[in-house]
Amino acid sequence: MHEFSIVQDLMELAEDELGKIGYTGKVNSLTLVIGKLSGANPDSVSFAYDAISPQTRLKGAKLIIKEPSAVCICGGCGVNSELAGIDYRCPLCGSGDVKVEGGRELRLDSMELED
Amino acid sequence: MKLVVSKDILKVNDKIAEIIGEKLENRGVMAVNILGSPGCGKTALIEALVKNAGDRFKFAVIEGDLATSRDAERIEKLNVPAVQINTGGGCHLDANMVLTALDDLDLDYVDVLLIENVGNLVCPAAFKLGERKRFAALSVPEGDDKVAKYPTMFQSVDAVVVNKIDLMAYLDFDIRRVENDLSKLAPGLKPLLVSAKTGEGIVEFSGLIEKAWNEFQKAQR
Repeated sequence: MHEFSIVQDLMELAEDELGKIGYTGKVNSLTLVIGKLSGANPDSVSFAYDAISPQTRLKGAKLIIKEPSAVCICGGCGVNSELAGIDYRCPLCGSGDVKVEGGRELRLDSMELED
Repeated sequence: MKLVVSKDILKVNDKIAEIIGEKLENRGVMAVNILGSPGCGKTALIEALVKNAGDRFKFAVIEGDLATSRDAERIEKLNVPAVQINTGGGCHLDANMVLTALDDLDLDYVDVLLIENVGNLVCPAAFKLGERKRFAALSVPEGDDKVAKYPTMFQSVDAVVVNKIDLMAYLDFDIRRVENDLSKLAPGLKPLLVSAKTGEGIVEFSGLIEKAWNEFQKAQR
């Protein structure tokens, strides 16, 4: 996808948030949430981050990525299970009557500040 | 010290998409975002739709391409207002581009706004444009494996239209593969078979718009 523009937006968001609290010190790490259905590739995001972040306020901050799966809530058997791959049917009973929750996150969760 | 942020990275786009959605709703306009590969016949499908349902709905079209105004010119020939967005190198339309394009349309004279996205099966899926519905177009020459290969996009849509079915006899395209893949990643979604060239299935395609419009009207009340 367009991971470079995602990382640019991420930098902007992070700098905004730091500006809001008037923090000028070092950022140790950023924790991102990239859901498995978000369409963004964590490896490409890391690659873009490594290329872009050294020229920014986030220089030296480590990137931590969490990759939550989507949860399939089955209307057939009533069981909630983790979605495997791209099959959106219930992995237990095969029903197509499912609600898919989560997995689409593309979010900056938190930042670890040095002091 | 931990600073909790918990904010969406594409929030800027989503925020603008919400503004567009509200703006259109207030003016009674329903937007449909049309996604699909380059050359799958998105513009031809819009032309066929406008010819078929132009007496029932006042259409307007926003066209997204990297370059040229060819698509908008095709639409204007049908006396439908069209705005061309050129993204330069951009691989998708974003909400900000659409918001700007709305300035060139008189929304009082529009019921259904068709937004033809940049031909691409990947990136457009991640960018909301304030649309009420999302349709994917797939064409027979592209092959019957595209749904499985580009799941994020096909999972994000409300309808899938398979165009150029007049070529089915000449190509190894198994519609059952498309149906089977769709049933896995979007249970309940069945592809609609059409040919913008011969007109086959276009009445049913108009029916999709009509159904969406009726739902939109109900929600408006």
